Amino acid sequence: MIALALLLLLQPPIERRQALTPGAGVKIFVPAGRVHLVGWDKDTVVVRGTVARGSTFYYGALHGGVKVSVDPDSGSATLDVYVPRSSLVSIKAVSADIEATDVSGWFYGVSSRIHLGGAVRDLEAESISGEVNIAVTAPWVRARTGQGRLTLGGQVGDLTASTVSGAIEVASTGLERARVSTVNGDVRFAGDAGQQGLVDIDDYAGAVDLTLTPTLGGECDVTTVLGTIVSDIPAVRPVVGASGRGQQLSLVVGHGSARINVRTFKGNVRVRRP
Amino acid sequence: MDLKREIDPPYDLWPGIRGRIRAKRRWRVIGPIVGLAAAAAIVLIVVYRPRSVIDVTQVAPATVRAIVDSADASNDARVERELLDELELRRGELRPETEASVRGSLRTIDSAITELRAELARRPNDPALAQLLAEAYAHKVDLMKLLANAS
Repeated sequence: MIALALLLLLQPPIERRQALTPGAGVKIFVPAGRVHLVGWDKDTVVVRGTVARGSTFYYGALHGGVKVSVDPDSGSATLDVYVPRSSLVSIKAVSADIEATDVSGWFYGVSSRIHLGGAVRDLEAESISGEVNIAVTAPWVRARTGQGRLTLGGQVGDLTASTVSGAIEVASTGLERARVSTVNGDVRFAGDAGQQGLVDIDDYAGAVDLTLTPTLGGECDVTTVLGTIVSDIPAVRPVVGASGRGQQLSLVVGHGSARINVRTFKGNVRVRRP
Repeated sequence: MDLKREIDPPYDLWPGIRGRIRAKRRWRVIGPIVGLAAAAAIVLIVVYRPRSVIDVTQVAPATVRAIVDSADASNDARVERELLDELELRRGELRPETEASVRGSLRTIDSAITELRAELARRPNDPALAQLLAEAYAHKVDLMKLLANAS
């Protein structure tokens, strides 16, 4: 019964392939459904999957690049796309969920859930209201949502995480530079800045939960304009801000030149030992 | 002269010996605990030591002013106008929930900016406030970029 329903809903399976020159672009537009991308060692892009009845599949390919799209804007497809690791992917979706492993590029969804992993060169992921989950090894990552939750792990050199009201969780290691910014979202930061990393956390109204990792060496400054700071470190206590409101906490952790700055307007801050 | 085959010690040495053995045992038990406690205290002081809190007034007012000016320049009324125009233009293209989400985010940012500006008027030299204001404006620009891609 289910198989019959699927047969009625789905068109025959599609399969396309194209050899690409190194660094070629792969552009994908799938409004709804699901797209699964895998970076592989071959020089060929392979697109397999099914397109929902009523949707049209477009495919254009040259050695220098491939374009895949599903129309109309409400069109739906389930695609598995294999791309050379050297390719730069640009994928845009409305509600389609995106999952990728070992794929570099730009990932965008309106309400899409985006899940990225593996080892990549550069990565940019955006979703207005969907969740974005990134656990990659990469030198450079930019992630942004409006209301969606943002979760970042893996090993990242340069990281930017930004939301309007979505919560942000960072547990990445190897951070040389990290900027975490949200207006109303809660921030949970347990990333490792080592002995040289520079981390800025700005949160207007959300709560910030900061865990100082055992390998951290450097300085940590926490300022909340109207909120309060709770510290698990008995040797260092927060003090009332210079204006008589809010609180500040400054401490040196181990040895190194790393620096963590936390600023909130009215969100409370918790500082934890590992 | 008959000598005694056995002779009692002039006094009982055992209580003293036992006392010294017990004292050593006590130290064997307590010593490491005391040592650990001392080490922990040193680690606590060395690993997490307070740093003199920066008085916000130590940051030059000119620097704070520069941050605010830069934020104002990046915001400009144009950014908001463009965002609202974009929303109007795409009203037919955007799903209602997407439009509601963007408008909700815009309200959140605007509310934060209003509150930050009011506080900054009271504390014009506070660098944390200036930085938070700059971030709020940056969020508005980011939102516009997100929206621009949502066609």
